[in-house]
Amino acid sequence: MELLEVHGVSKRYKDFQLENIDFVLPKGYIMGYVGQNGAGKSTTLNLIVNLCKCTEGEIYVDGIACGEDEIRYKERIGYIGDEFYYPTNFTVRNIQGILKSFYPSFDEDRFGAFLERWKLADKMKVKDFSRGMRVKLMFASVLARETKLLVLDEATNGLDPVARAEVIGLMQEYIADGERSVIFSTHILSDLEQIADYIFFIDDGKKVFCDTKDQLLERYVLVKGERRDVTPQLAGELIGIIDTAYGFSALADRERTGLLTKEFLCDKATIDEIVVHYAQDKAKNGRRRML
Amino acid sequence: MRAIHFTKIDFLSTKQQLKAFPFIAALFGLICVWQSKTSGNESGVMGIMVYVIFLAITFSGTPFGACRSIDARFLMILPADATSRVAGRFLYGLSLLGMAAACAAVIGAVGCAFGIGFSAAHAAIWLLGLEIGVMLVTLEYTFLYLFGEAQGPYMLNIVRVVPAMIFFFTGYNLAGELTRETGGALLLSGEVVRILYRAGACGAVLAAALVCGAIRLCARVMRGRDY
Repeated sequence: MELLEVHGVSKRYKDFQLENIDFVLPKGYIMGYVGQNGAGKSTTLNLIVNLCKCTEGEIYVDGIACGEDEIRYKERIGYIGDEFYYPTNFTVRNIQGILKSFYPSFDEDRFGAFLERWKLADKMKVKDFSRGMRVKLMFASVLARETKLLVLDEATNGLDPVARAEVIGLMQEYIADGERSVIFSTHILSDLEQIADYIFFIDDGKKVFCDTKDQLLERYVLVKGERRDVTPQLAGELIGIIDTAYGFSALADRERTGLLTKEFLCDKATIDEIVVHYAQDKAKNGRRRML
Repeated sequence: MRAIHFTKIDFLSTKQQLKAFPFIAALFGLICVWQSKTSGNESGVMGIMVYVIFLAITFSGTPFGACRSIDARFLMILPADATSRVAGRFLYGLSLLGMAAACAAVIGAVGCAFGIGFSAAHAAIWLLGLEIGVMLVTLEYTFLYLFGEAQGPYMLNIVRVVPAMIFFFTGYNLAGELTRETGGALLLSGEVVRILYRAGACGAVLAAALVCGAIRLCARVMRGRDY
């Protein structure tokens, strides 16, 4: 059963276009939404949260479109943005009061437990909080109520490694019952490797690939070797050739490694390497290989 | 109900700025009482209302400034429709005018205790002033929702101050003219009082219609807006 359905979504701005984004996220899974700065990650997530309106296409969360029932749609989403969105002159207690009045499922005891766990003083104004404390407050506010989908827009940026590990643990805990899902964008691709089940790679407003992490890791190998050994035929098969101090590195489809001779070293590719080489391929050749 | 929650958020966001409101209202109001008492001129009684409504109109635009675009995102992610969000903001403006009317009533009562006359005509003029205030705040909010939000603090300040200044100078001059020309005798005429109350009743209907129409229009615009 799909929890998040994004069908043919487009958004047009004067200088940027998000084109025909299409994917589904089943219940109980985590999707990493990756791409370079300005690729359209935040735009897509803002469209899901309904901070922006689609020019074309439909988005359903738990089978509900925002246009059908905005209140139920939004109650199902927990959103944590790249910027802190609570008014900074509010105290934690103010925020708690507001959330209680808007969300019937908001659990004050659970919220209090998060505050205690993360040592967030409820009488303090949030303007006096550090970046890490603010992110934790946003997490506490969404985890203290019933949601179906967590939308995290580079939420782990600026967190120290300990806090980041804790947030990753929370995401895994969140989907443990198999009824909820997470979609998150990040530049820290090691986080993706740890927890994402699906990877969606977007570039220049267009989908490059969307697949399960395991299939991606299975499909690609990292090829290293001397540039002089690369024949024109092989160059056509390699994705995103990057020159290094010791030669080159590139991605190759595991099924098309027949052209690789013993001069080349083949290794398992990480998600980080897959994304970097695809981005390089696009930058150098101006082409995009769709999967 | 959700609209009231949004009103509460606006009051929380502007709490700091609003602290000054009753003090400024009391100060200006008491100056009017004192002026009326020393000059024996009735314009001071009407001036109380002009001053407090002027203040309410000026303060009513505060939530538009207090909400940075990133704070506005917070309002957008809360589970509510655009009508509730907009109605909540309008309710904030109307509540401020209500507070202003309450302040005026208290100051008026203080004035009466000091022997300043307060007639039925004064009450009708106060009511009319309040209704004009409601209309001006409605127009101000409509403008800010339709054009002002993205224009930054400069536009916001102009839209906040201009209607308030127009109300203040027009209201105060009218009050002065009215009492100067007739020495206040006009306000004692039963016919004038009846006309004023009829105008007040029509004004109330017009103001209510304007508020409802503005909420619908602004909600429609907000429904399609990106944050």
